[in-house]
Amino acid sequence: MSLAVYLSRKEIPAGMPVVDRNDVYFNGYTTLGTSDFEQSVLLGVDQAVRISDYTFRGRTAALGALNKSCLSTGTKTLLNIYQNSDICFSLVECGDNALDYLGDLHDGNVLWEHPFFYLGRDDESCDIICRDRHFENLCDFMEWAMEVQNDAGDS
Amino acid sequence: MLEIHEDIGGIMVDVTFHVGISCVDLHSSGNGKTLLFDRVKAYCLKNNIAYRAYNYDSQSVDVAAELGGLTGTVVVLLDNADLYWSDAVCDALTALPEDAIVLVSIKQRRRLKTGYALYKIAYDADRLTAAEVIL
Repeated sequence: MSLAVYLSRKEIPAGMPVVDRNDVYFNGYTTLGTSDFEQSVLLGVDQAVRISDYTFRGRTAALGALNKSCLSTGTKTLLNIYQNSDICFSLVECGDNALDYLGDLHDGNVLWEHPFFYLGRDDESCDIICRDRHFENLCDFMEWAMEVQNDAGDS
Repeated sequence: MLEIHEDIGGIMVDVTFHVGISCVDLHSSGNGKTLLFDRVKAYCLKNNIAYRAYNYDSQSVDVAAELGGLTGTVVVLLDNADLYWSDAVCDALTALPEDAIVLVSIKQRRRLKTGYALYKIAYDADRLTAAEVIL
């Protein structure tokens, strides 16, 4: 399997639900899992450590255990994608540091309508399918996605 | 001007925002933007400052129309603005009274008009600050 990236809504397979409001979906359905990917995202994006399915410890010790709804939208989006491979989640609210983790996803569906180039980590590997092309390098994919967007804007 | 310097729940909030439209940290996730907005709302409530706030639940709201009807609102907070940003919202913000303070959290930087101030948000273990970025 690969992460499927759609650059426009019309590319999304018919019948697949699309979620723009990642906060609402996450708060209602997604939990804090124990996988390496989930721990890495929690720590890397939000400086957070999982306590339970519903709570985490943030960077302010005095606040104690916090509900998962207090996580950033970027983290929520990544965990939504990871845990729900039959739903397409919009990346519109993901910050640069959250987009770095796209390279670690090997399943799921995302909508990225406004791609831009950014890579804040050394590991450029990825497993992405977009418009029937398979990408194994995140830089190559981002450059290509921006070209596609620019071409669409020109036409 | 909106100045908040207070310890709330173990976090020292130390921010100052000037009148006009300001964008908070366009690039990163998890740097305290929503926490900042919550603190600003609490501060406004405590100090009897009229405010209006929008977030991810505002996608089905006509934000531009509501902004156009605001009278006496001093502070406007637009969190998760990627979900409901439009040219009409831009125009409505521009038409707000000169003394209004508007904070916008948005990731799609190319959708912004020029002339907005930009603030870098920093949230470490016990301190939340906002520093204006000079472009």
